[in-house]
Parts: sequence; structure tokens; C-alpha cells
Amino acid sequence: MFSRERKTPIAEWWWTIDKSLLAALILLLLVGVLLSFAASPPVAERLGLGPWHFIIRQAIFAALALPVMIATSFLPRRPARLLALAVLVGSTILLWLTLVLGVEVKGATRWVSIAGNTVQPSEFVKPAYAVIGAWLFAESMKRPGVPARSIAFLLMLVIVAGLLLQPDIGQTALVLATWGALLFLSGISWVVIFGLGATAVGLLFAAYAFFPHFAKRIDTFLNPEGGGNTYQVDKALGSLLEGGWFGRGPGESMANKIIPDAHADYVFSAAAGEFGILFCLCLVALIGFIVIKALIGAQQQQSLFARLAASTLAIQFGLQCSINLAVNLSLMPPKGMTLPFVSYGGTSMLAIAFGMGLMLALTRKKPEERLASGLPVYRSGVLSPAE
Amino acid sequence: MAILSEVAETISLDGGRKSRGNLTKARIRWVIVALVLVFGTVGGRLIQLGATVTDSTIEGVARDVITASRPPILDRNGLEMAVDIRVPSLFAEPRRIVDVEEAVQKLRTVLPDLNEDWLRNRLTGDKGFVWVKRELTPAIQERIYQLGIPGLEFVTESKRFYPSGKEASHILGAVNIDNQGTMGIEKHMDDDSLAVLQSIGIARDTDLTPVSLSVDLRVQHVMYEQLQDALVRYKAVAAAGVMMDVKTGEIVALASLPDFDPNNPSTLFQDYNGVKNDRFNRITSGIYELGSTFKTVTLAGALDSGKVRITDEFDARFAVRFGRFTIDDFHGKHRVLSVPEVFKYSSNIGTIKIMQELGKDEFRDFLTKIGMDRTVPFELPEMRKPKVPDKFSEIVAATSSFGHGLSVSPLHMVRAVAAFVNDGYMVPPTMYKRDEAEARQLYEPVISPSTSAEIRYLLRLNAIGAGGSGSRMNKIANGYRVGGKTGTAEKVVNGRYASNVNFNVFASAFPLDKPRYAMVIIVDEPKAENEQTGVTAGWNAGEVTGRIVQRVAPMLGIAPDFGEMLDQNLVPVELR
Repeated sequence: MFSRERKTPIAEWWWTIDKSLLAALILLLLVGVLLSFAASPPVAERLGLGPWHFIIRQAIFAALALPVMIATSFLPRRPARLLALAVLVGSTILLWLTLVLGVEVKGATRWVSIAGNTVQPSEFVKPAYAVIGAWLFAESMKRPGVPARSIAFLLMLVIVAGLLLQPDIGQTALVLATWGALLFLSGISWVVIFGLGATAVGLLFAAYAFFPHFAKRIDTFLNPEGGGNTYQVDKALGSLLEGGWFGRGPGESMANKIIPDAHADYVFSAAAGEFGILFCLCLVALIGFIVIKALIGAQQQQSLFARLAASTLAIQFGLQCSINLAVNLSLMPPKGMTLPFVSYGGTSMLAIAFGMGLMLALTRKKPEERLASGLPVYRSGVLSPAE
Repeated sequence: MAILSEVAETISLDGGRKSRGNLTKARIRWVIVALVLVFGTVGGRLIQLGATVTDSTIEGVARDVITASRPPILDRNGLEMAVDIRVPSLFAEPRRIVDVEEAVQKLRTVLPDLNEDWLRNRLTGDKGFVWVKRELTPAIQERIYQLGIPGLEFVTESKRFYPSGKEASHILGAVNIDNQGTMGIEKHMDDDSLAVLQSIGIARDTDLTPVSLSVDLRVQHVMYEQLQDALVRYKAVAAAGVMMDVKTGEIVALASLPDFDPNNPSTLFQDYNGVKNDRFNRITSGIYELGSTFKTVTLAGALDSGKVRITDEFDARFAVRFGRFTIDDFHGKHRVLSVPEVFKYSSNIGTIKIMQELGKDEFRDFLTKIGMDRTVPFELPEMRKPKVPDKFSEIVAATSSFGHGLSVSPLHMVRAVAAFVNDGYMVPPTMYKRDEAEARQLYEPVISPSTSAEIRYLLRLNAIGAGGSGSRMNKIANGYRVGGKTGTAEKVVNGRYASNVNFNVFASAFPLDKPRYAMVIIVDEPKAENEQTGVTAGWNAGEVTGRIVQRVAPMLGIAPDFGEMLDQNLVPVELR
């Protein structure tokens, strides 16, 4: 099946995919299932569900996410772009629909119910926007006449407006960061970068001024003893400290039984209590490997679109991970950000699988780079340049 | 948006690909550098947290100490006498409590016995940790969780539980709320080694090797029950008993009433019938004038010296005078008495004469030899030093010979009786299991085996002979070859001996043909059971002894034997 003799799609996929990246992603998915054993039973019991509730669902979602990721990674560039476009259009519409039809959970309207399942459209918007945004930026770099950047900017505004109305500061920040990453990668001058950086700071202050729950979190972070609600953070840190280097062993941690969101945002801390800080360091290394490997893979792409899209997806993934880790380690004020593939959440897992699938698809080594002639293949005219 | 076209303007179509490629590649490199820094920071933070030494103390007490485990305590047959159970304890973090008033009101719906002002005071302030109530039940814990008050939390503690309740309270002692032994064998274990274990963190959340005591819970139960019965039956103010294996020194049962509930140690300090601090261990920390039981000691010393022989006779016709004091016999025979008769009729005059034959200084030396003037080396920490004058005057020696003018604990007496019947080998008593071979290493000869045989005969004689003070006991425990000596000491009331207020003792051993157990029973201030009965020791302490032996002897594998031959074999050759 994987023979090089006949050029079957599977063989081609197998010889061009970044196998270490794929393996690392699958490993992360499995770690997520493993950690759900540690983190989720106390939460499930608190919610009056069976202890296996979240574990079973996490396993099912992981089982669904894997084929989604692999199937997406099969896509050549053009179909990948088309799919991303379809997903972007669909999820943006759903995103705005949530404001009308959505279900309110914990003070925010982020979910819509489709055929009995609640879906969080904002999760799918992120990777789709990264790909389409990359395409638009690539087009504008190649053909300056086309107002592609402006389109990307407008698209971002549409999405961000919808997210802010939910409100969902975390996802807003990620989409903004995605746009910022595209600007940066597409070669914006450093002057503007610092200008935009200043704007970002300004936006943070604006958020502080206009969103009370955001302001409260910042206050509490800056002054933990000030009487604010630092319950989650305290418990998360408690779990980390309790575990020490080697952890207390599976099922032995006491602290993770009282972390409120142990299965979602705070899964990392909960894991630390049971498996120890060394394990957590390995997990961070795994995530870091995925991000760096994907970025290197993106760098080697000849196609500008693929390079931009793959690196943007990697940056998005890396940012989400680092924000979650920073919150877990009290390096940052709490922010509703899940740890990709590890935290519980069906939509988010499938969306990340979709995004990672696209990333894998776009970091595949193209056959032209495999020729040993030394000449770029597109010069020979055998293959049309992908750009 | 001039900057957006800036790049595009400077490139030609052909070189554009290359420059765009170089540009984006360089930018990706920057991103890689930034992300490496971010993940490096995360890793560094993890290492910092890993290196953090957590402050694990709770209100200044190490958390390990609070959750410290104690080994289970078993009786000699493996029955559980003390075990650890895990219980939740409620604490508060006042600085996290949002609404103190709400917290107080809600909490009091579950724990109504908490004082409102105390609780409000407790929950107000900026502290990070205060106990609210410790050692609760899981049901209460659940109800407090349901209240959903922020800043209230639980920590799991070990709580000591004593399944047998009050039955062995003075043996086991008690622990404080931090699970540290405060009295009894619990304290001894701590002083011994457990404290060391706990301090180095071994005795934490782990199963410790159980500690086996010498106590036989069945015997303990019987003794406890009979002493309680004695309190009611004789309207006594106190009763206590101790039973010891004469071969090994193991304490098989030890009870003292009034007592306390080790599951609720504060009961120790409750008044008993209006008397404060009356719930102490009378066997180890009570010292008494043990009255005529001491005649056994005097005779053992005299017979062993060889200066008095079992066949000797003493003139007990006239009371003995010391200056203005006159000592007479209680229901005296006022005739010449043989040594066994002196013992049987409990003649004060005869005993004084026997002691004088021995010599008062020799008598004092004998008391030192059998350890009557020192605290008994024993595991229980509640010990009191006996009061024995360093040097005997004539009159003190005389009163001491029949157990007045010196105070020792019942534990002293049981050890002495055990030695007298055990071929003269004294063995230190212990609360822990000990086998005979081990005990032999500790044997200390105090009288000769032949004197021991004579004492066995005298003790048995007192139970079977007509008029012996142990006959009432023997009727109840017939067949178990018990022998013993009564002691009816008049208590000092307002500075003088009161003839109607007694402290009664019965010191016994059984089965005397093959001695195994020694026992001392005390009954404090007994009243006559009915009009036909008396108040001397034979009527109460003696009968209690009989009832205990009658019930425990079969458990201890002693079969009843009514053969006269056994008793006749006890008679010394000289008297046959």
C-alpha cells in the first residue's frame, strides 16, 4: 500500500507527510485521553454524572478527531483551501447565529445546538481563517493590485465583532493574533509591528475598561491577596506543588479533586498533581516540538500560500497552548483557553484536528523538492508552479 | 496603507518569488525564536515550581503530624482495641470568605453547636488558615459542601477509634486531636518510638505494624463487668482490678472505675459523684494502705529468712503495746497461734511477732528487695511513687507488717503475689506480649522455691480452711484452686482511722497447684450488700475475685478440679 512503485494517493501521502509531526500530534491526542482519567472523574461527580462520563466522551472525540486530522492531511493545496473557505463561511454564519439561537453557558453565548449536539462555531473559525487569511495575504504579496489584504482585514473584523458580542475575549485575541501573525509573516515593516503592538496594548486597556469580568481577572492577578476570587488559580497551583517532581501517582492527587475546571482549562495542573512536574515538562516539550517542527516544515515550503498558512496554523496552535500553560502556571491572568487536544471539549478537539490536518497537508514535501536535479522543478515546465 | 504596497513596489516579477521567500522565511525564523522563548519560560516556571518547597504546616503544626497514622492496637488474641479511621476536618481561609455573616449563618444550620460569636470572630480577618471544627463525619462534610460557602475546606485527618469503648480505657489511654498519645499505652508508644517515626514522616498514610498488647479482651471484659457490678452491689465509690500472668509478667486485664471514654477523652475530667479528678488509674497511680494483704509479704520475708518456720507458734493472747498505742486483733482468738493460723485468722499480733522475729531492719530490706519502695517499672505513664518510710521505727515496722503506715499501688501487690507463688521469681509486669523464655531473662529471685510453696499453701488455706477470709471467694470459684488474702484497711477520715469506712483489697492467685495468674481487686468504701452480709474484704473484694475467676478460668484453659488431693499436696511436709 505504501509502496513507491505505484503512485497511489496513500503511498504519496505516506512519503510526503511529516511523520514525526504526525506522530507527535497522535501522541498528544493519546495524552489527552490519559489525562482525562486523572482530571475528569471528580468534575463529573461534582456535576452529578458518572465518573466515566468525560473519559468516555474524550476517548470518543479522540477517536473521531484522528480520522478527521488524517483525512484533512490528505488534501492537496487547492482542495484544502476550498474546504477551509467552506468551513470559514459556514462557521462565521453560525458564529453570528449563536447570538440569536445560542445557548448561554457560564455567562457567555458561545454554543449552538445542531441536531442535539452543542457546537462552538468559534473553534472552527480559527483554523479556517488562518488558511483563508494566508491565501489572501499570499495573493496580495504576489499581485499587489488585488485588495486581498483589505478583504482579510474585513473578514477579521466580521469574526472579531461576532466573538466580542458573545463575548469571548480569548478567541478574539487568538483571531486578532492570527491576523497579526499573517501581517508579520507577510513582511510588514518593524515600525508598523511596534505600532500594532502598541495598539494591542491599547486594546487590552480598552478591554479592561469595558469588560468588567476581564478587569476583575486582571485585578485579581495583579493582587492575589486583594480578596478577589483566585480559587481556580490557587487550586491549580496547589495541585502542581502537591505533585512535586514525580507526582503522587494516578488517582492519588488530592488537590486536583477540587480544581473546578480540571477537565478543561486546568487539565495541565490536574495532571501535574498525579504525574508530576517532570511529566509536565515532557508535555511542554512535546507541544514545543509540534510547533517548532511545523514552523520548520512551513519554512521549507516553496509555495508562499502553503508557507504562510502552515506557519499561521502552527502559531495559532502554539499561542493557544502557551496561553493555557501560562494561565495554569499563574504566569498570566486566567483566560478561558483550552489546551489543544488535551482539554475536554468535542468541538474544540474536532476543530483542532481539522486545523492540524490542514497544517499537515500544507507541510507535506512536494515531489518537486524531491528531484535531485538541483534545478527547481517548475523551471522544467513539467509541473506548473504551485504559486 | 502605504506600508502594504511598499514591499510590492520594489520587486520585479522574477526576483519577487525569491525575495518573498527570503522575507517570509526570515519572519518564520523570528517566530520560532519567540516561541522557543515562550516555551522556555513555561519550562522554567515548571522547574521553579518543582523546586519550591511547600509550607506544609497548619497553624504551626506540620501537616504530616496532623494526618499522622498510629498503629492499630490489638489484644493478645488479635482483637482490635484501637484503630485509625479517616475523618474530614473543616477549616476556613478567612481572607477568602466573601460574606462572613452569611457564612456564619449558613454554617450554623449544619453545625448548630458552634457558638455564633466565636465563629464570627474566627471567620473574620485576614488569616490564611483557621480550624473551624475537626473530626466531622462524611455526612456533615457533604452538607457543608452543599452550602457552597467559599473559603471553607476540608482536610482528611486520622482519628483514633476504640471499638471496645470504655472497657480498656486506662490501658489504652487517649490521644489528643493531633493524634498524639496523651496517656496510657498510646502515650507510651509515642514516647517510645512512634514520635520518632512520625517526625521523619514514615508514619504517614501508611499501614503500620499492629502493636500486640498482653491484654486478653475477654478477661478484660469480665473484670470490667464485675467491677461495675461491684460498684452497684456494694455502693462503693471506686473499684479496680489487675490480673497478671505470674510466669511472663503480662498484664492480662486491668480496669479501674470510675473511668472515662477514650473515644471522648474529655470525659476523663468529668466529676464523678461530685468528686473531681476521680477517674484516674487506681491500679498504677493510686497508692493505698493495703491492709492485711501485706501480711503475705511479711510472712514471705520471715519464712524465707529461716528465722521463722511454718511450724512455729506465736503468742497472740495479749494486745501489743507501743507506748500509748495498743494494737489488737480484729475478732481475735487471743490464744497461741501457729503460723498458718496467724495468716488465716489475719492476726495483727501474730504478724507483729513474726516481723519482730525477722527484725525490723531486715523487714525493711525485704521490702526494698521486692521493690515496694520504688515505682514499678511499667509501660503506662500514669505511675505514682509509693510511700514507704526509709527507716522503720518499732511502731512503724509493726503497723507496716499488717499493711498500715505505708502506701503502695495495687500493681506493687500483684507483682509481689505473682513472685511469691511463682517459685519466688519476680518478673516485671508488662502491657506488651511477652513469652515465657523472654520473661525468664528478667526473672529475679526474691524468695526461695520452698518459701514460695509455703505461701501457696497459706493462700489456699485461707480460702478453704474454716474461718478463712477467702472462703466466700472460694465458694464462688470452687474448683479453680484459688487462694488469696483479704485486706480491710480503715480509711483515714479527718485525720483518724474510721472504723466504718474501709478500703478493701483481695490479693489472690490461681490455680495454686500450678500457679498461672495473680490478681488484686480493690473495692473502695463498700457498704454491706444486705443485712446478713459484712463490709470486710471477704464480702466484697473477695466475692468479686471469685466471680471473675469463675468466669475467666475456663476461657484461660483452666479446667475445674474438685479433688481434695490437689489441696493436700499443697500442705508442706512439716505440717502433714
